[in-house]
Amino acid sequence: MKSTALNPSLTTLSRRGLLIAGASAAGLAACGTDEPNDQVGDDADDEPSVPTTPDTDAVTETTFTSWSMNEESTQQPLGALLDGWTAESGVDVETPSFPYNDYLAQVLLQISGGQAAGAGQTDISWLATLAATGALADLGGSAARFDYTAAALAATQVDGVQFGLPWTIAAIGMIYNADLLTQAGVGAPGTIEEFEQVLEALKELDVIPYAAMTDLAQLKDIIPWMWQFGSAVYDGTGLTLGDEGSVAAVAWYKDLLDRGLIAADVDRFDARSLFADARVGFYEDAIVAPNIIAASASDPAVVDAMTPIGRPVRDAGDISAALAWGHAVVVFTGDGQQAAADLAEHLTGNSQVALEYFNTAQVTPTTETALGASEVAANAWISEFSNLITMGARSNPFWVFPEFGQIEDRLGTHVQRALIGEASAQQAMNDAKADIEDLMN
Amino acid sequence: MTSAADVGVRDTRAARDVREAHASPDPAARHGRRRRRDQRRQRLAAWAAIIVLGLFGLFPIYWMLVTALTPNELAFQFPPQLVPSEPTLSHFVDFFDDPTLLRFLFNSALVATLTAVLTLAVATLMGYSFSKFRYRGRASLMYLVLSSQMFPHALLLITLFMMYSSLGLLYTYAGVVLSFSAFTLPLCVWIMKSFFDTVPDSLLEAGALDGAPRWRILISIVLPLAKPGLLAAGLFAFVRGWNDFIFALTLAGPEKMTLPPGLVNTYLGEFQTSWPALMAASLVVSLPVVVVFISLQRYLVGGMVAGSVRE
Repeated sequence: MKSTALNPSLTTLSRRGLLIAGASAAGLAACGTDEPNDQVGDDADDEPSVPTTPDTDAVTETTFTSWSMNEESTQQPLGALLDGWTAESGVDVETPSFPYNDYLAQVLLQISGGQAAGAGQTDISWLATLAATGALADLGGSAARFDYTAAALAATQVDGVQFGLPWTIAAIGMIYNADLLTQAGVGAPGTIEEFEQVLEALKELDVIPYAAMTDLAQLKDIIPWMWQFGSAVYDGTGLTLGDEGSVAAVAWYKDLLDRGLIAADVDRFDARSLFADARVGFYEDAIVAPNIIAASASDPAVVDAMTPIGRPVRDAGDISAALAWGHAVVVFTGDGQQAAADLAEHLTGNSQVALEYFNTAQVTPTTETALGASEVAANAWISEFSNLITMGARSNPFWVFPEFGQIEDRLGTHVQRALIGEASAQQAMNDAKADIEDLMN
Repeated sequence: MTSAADVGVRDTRAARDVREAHASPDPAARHGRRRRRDQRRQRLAAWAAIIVLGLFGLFPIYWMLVTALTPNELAFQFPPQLVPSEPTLSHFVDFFDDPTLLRFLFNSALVATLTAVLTLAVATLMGYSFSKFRYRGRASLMYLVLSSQMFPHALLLITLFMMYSSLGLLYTYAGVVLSFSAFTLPLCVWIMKSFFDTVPDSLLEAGALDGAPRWRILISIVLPLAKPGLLAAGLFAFVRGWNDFIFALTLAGPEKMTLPPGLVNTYLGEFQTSWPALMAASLVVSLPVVVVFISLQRYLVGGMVAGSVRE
C-alpha cells in the first residue's frame, strides 16, 4: 500500500502559517456588522429608522408582515391601501412576506429572534399561539374606537383580551353545484337524511357527490359535523370526544365512505380543482370560494352554479354549524408600537378603506358601517353565504391552545383509523380523547 | 427434415436446439448462434429496462412542460391530455416580465456561486490537510466532519437565526452563503481529500526539493491534477446553494430571497396554487443547472468515485 505521509518538513505549521490562520478568522468575523439586526427587511448596514419612543410623530417607518402581499389577488389592492396610509401619515411601510403555509413558523422565529416588529397579518386560528409568546399588544383601546361586529371582536380575542383587530371574519361552509343537482333531479337538502338521498342521486352522475375532507391533514374538518351531531368536542372545561355526537359523526363519515358518497384522501385543494371541473356536487370552502373557482374553472358556468347552503341538520329546526374563518391584524410590542396600531386601525376599522379593499379584492369587511354599505349588501353571494353559513359559525375549540396543530393532527389520525376500519368509531374517539388529553396536560 | 410441428412437439428452446443440432452438426457454430441469440435477448431486455426507467424518470419532467404550456383553466381537466390542446407561452413570458422573479434569479445565481467558491476554498485546504499531513486528532477531525453530514440541518434553524440576529448577519448575502457553505463543506472536503489521495507524494517532494513553498506546491502541482474533484465539489456546492429552501426563506429576507422560497412566495397562496405558472418558472430556473450538469457530468462522476479504487 502506498503511503500518503509527506516529508515532516512539509507538515509542520510555521508562525507565519498561524498568523495567516488568525487573520482569516478575524476577516470572517468582520463579515458581520457591529450592531445586531434591527428590523425585518432592513439591510444589516442601514441605520434603524424607527426611534425608541413610541410616539407616531417621531416614527418614519413601520413594518407590515403578511402573506397577502404575495398573493396575486390581494397584492396590488393591499399595496394601494398601504401607500394610501403612507401618504396620510408620512410613515413608510416595509412589507416583508412569507408563504401562507410557512407563515406561522416564520413569525414565531421572528419573535424568538427579537425581530418581530410593527403590525402583522394573522389567521384567527393562530392568534392563541402568537398571544402565548407574549409579543402581541392588547388592542382593546383600538377596537373600542370602531364599530366592529361583536362576532368579529370575539373571534379575535384570546382569554378575553383583544389581541387582534378583525380584518375579515366569515366561515368555511358548504357549497354545491346547482346544475349538477338539477341534472340529478334533486333539490337542496335540509336534513342529513335528505342530504344522503341527494348524494345517492349525484352518485348516478359519476361525480364525487360530496368532496368531504378525508386527507389526514384536513380531517379536522369533521369538527363541524361533530357539532351538528350534538357533540361540543371541547366545552371549555374538557374534551367530550367519545360522546354520542362525536361517535355518530365519525360513524356517519365512515358510512358515506363505504357507500362511495365521499372519496378517500381528498384535501381542500383537490376539492376545489374537482369542483371547478364540475366533478363534485358538494364541497366546503371559505366565503372567497367564487374567486378561487373562477381562476381554475374551464367552464365559467360552474361559477354561476355555485350556491352556498347551511350544513344539513340532524333534526329540522336545528342550527347549521360552520367553522369560523378569518384574518386579523396584530401589533407586536416594542418600538413603533403606536404607529403599527394606527396602521392596523386604518386597515381594519376605517370603513372607507375596508370598502375599498372589498371592492378591489373581495375581502369582506368587519365593521357594521362597512357591512351595511350598499356594495356589500348588494353582493348576493356574500349576503347568502353570511345568512346561511356565517351566522352559525363557531371557532375551532382547539384554537385556544398554542399546540392546536398537534391536537388536530391527533384527532385526524384517530378519525382516519375509523375510516380505514382499523378501529370502531367509539374506540377511535375514546383513543382520540385520551391522546389529546395527554397533549393538553 | 421433420419439423417439430410434424410430430406435434411444442417449439420449445430444447426443440430448437435439437433442430439446430440436426441442421448443423458443428458444435462451435451452434454455440455461436446460441450465444448471439442470448446476446440479442439480453440487449432487448436491457433496452426495455432503460426505456421503462427513463420514462419513470423523465415523465415528470415532461408533465411539468405540458403543465407549463397549459392555460390555468385547463390545468386539471379530466381526462388529462399528454399533449396540450391549447398550448400557451404566456406563463414563460410572465416569468421574464416579473422583475421580482428576475431578482430572485439574480440572488440565487450570486448566492450559489459564492457558496461554491467559499466551499471550494475551504474544502481544498481541509482536504489537503487531511490527505497530506499527519497530526494528532486528524482522524477524529475527519470523522467529525463526515458525521456532521448526517445531522438534520433544519434543527439548527432556530439557533442559527438567533445567532445571526445577534451578529448582524440576518438578511445579508454573507449570512446566507455562510450557512449554505457550512452544510456543503463536509461532502466537499471528502471529495477533495479523495482526489488529493491520488496525487503521488513523490510529486510534492519533488516540488519541495526544488524549493517551492507549500502554497506553491498546492496551487501549481496539486490543484491542476485535482481539477475533476474541484469541478465535482464546486458543482455540488452550487446546486446545494441553488436548491435550498428553508434556510433561504428564514435567513435571506425579502430583498435577498433566492428562487426556491421566492417561487413558493409567488405561486403558492393561501387558497390556490398557480400550477402552470409555477411549472414554467421551475423549468426556467432548472435549465442553468441542467446545462451545467450535462456539460460537466463526466467530471462529476469522476469526482464522486475518485479514490474508490486503490492503485
